[in-house]
Amino acid sequence: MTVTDWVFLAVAAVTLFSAYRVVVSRKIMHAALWLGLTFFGVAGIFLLLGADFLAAAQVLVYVGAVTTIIIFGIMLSTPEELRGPSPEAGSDAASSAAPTRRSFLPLVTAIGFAAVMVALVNRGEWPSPPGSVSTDTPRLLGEALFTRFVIPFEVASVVLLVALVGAIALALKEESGQ
Amino acid sequence: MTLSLSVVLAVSALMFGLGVYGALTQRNAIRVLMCIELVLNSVNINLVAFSRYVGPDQALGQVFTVFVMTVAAAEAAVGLAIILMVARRKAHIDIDQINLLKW
Amino acid sequence: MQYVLILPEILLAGLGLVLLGMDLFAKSKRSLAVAGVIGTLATLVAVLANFGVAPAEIWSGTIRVDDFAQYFKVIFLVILGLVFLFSHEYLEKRDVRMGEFYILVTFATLGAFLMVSSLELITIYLGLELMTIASYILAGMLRQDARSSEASIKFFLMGALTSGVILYGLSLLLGLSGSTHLVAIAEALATSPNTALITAAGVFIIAGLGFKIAAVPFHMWAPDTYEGAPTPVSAFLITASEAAGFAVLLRILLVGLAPALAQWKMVLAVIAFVTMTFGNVTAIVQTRTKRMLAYSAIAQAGYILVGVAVATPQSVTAMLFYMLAYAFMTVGAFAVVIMLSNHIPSEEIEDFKGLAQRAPGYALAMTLLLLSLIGIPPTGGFFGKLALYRSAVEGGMVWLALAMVINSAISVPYYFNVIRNMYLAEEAPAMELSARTGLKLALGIAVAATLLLGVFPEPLVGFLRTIQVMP
Repeated sequence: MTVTDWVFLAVAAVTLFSAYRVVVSRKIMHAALWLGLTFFGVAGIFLLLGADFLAAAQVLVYVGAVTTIIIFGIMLSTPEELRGPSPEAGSDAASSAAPTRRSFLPLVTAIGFAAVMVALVNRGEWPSPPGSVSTDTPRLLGEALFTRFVIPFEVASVVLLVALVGAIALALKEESGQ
Repeated sequence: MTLSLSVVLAVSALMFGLGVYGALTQRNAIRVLMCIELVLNSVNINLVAFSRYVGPDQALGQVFTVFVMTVAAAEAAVGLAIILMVARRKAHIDIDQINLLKW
Repeated sequence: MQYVLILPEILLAGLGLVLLGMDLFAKSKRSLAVAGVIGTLATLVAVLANFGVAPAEIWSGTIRVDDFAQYFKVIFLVILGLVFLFSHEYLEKRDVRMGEFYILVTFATLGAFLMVSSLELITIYLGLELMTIASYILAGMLRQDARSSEASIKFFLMGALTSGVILYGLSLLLGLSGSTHLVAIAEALATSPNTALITAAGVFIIAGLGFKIAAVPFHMWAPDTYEGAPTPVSAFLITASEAAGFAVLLRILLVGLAPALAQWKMVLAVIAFVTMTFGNVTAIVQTRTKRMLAYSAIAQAGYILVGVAVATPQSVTAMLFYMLAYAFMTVGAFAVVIMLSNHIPSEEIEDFKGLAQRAPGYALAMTLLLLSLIGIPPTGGFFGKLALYRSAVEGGMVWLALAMVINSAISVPYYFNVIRNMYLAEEAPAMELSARTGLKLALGIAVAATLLLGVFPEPLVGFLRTIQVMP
């Protein structure tokens, strides 16, 4: 094993642990922060796989934007959950009665699924890796995006427009005058 | 680098499993949304891994990832708008309690 | 030449942008609907002009123009046009933001366009997301109604998760074949030794698309969403959105996963059977009009899925025919529901009581559309179902054809319940029923087309036989 491998395993372990915490944390705000760490970890994995541009984009889009949106959402919609589970809430009582179920089931599910996938992947034969791995990924991506994938690129901009119009249409408070 | 494809795919499969499990069992809409983001991230790891290990076109997986990221950001924004709309009307976003409509 | 071939998409995107601009300045929102109808017609002309051109892959293979795509685009445009025609009064009465409604429904249709006119997974994915993201918002646009928000949030959470699952499957396909183009994928898969992993990818993709077309057991979002969403949106989702899902399912199964198709036929046949039976049985006990139509839509999705499961050229032809007929009859029925709910907001099936006395024209139209939904001549629904039965028998799935016949029989009571209410119920509340010209026009077009498809199906069937899913 080389140093890169060890680094990869360490990053993957942090990523997966924080992903696990996203699923099982009691407080929603903690889950959101763990989610931010997961996104960072995924950026690290991208970096180790040689996708440096995507690693930067991952930090910008996911850590910067998505996590922020989610924290905004939490603060605007569920103030009571910020304080953690309230004792009288029935559903939380039920989940604290079975803390092991809460923390082990997701692990079992995920490990089971991953075991199946790894078995399938290992049984198969994979095509050979690309002959020359380009290290200039921004150029690689830029050329592909603006030549071969120019139509999907345009469609992506329409998707963003729709999200913009739609989010405003839904979230705007109605003016009482009209 | 000796890191094998199956190790990377195992990481992404673990994350996918966690995300799907969480999305199906969580009751709070925002937490479901977080778990969906985990699923999308696991897909991105898959795509980047394939672009690194599987020929012939290195750009393909990475381009796909760019689009997934774009859409995920749009989806998160729309999702939060929807959640806020529900929260404003009903003061909670527990999806079990959203039961005006029967199953 | 490239630009002529994607002119429909350009026009539709342009229409969306024009509506966005008009929304800022237009005093009367009705002008948006008028502009929408004009834009839809212009796009329709552009689509029709492209019929019969040699199949072409343009823009480095990210767009494919062939008759299969053009035909689906006609279906989408028919639905979009009818939605533009009949929505105005409903939106006005329910205080929906009209500008955004028209804009989003246009862009959702653009998404459906892109889903059908490509063999490139990236374009298909982006089209799918464009359509569904617009649909999540559309489903939540009834500001006065908590059920609409719930429809929207359920639809969103299930839809976003499903997109993730489909993507996981697509990423496996990319890994297995090194390509995102369905033809190249099929070539790579045909010689690939990784059969187990191909099956796994297929499971993810079929389960995910099963959600999008509301096939049992992936239907749990559908009744709530179809009932809670604004009625024109329900009509759009049940017809256009589902048709787009079926188009992608056909392309992926018959082109990309073609080497592994045989193993999926039985699975799909079982899903089709369960879907139609569940939809029909559950529809019987419903008392609310939209919920009844929602379960009926699930059942109809089961019938259409028969065409995918049989997977012969005949069954695909039958399926394409049925989907156009289904678009007309469903949107027409929704036009009557909208007319009625503009006067009686409750949307119960009981509201149809005495409709035959108050508005015989509407009652007659509704009767005809319901007969078509059951599959009784002389309607397009009858002919389409007949073609589906026949293709199932010829394709060696006699039991599935039999299941369809039995299911049609099960569906008779709940459709007839509406007809009975219209004609036999005694005391009808005295009420003036009226509708705007647009709605009348939409209903007229739907009824005329349903009849026409039932009486003269041959020209269309003849044309559909020439359509190839495969490149």
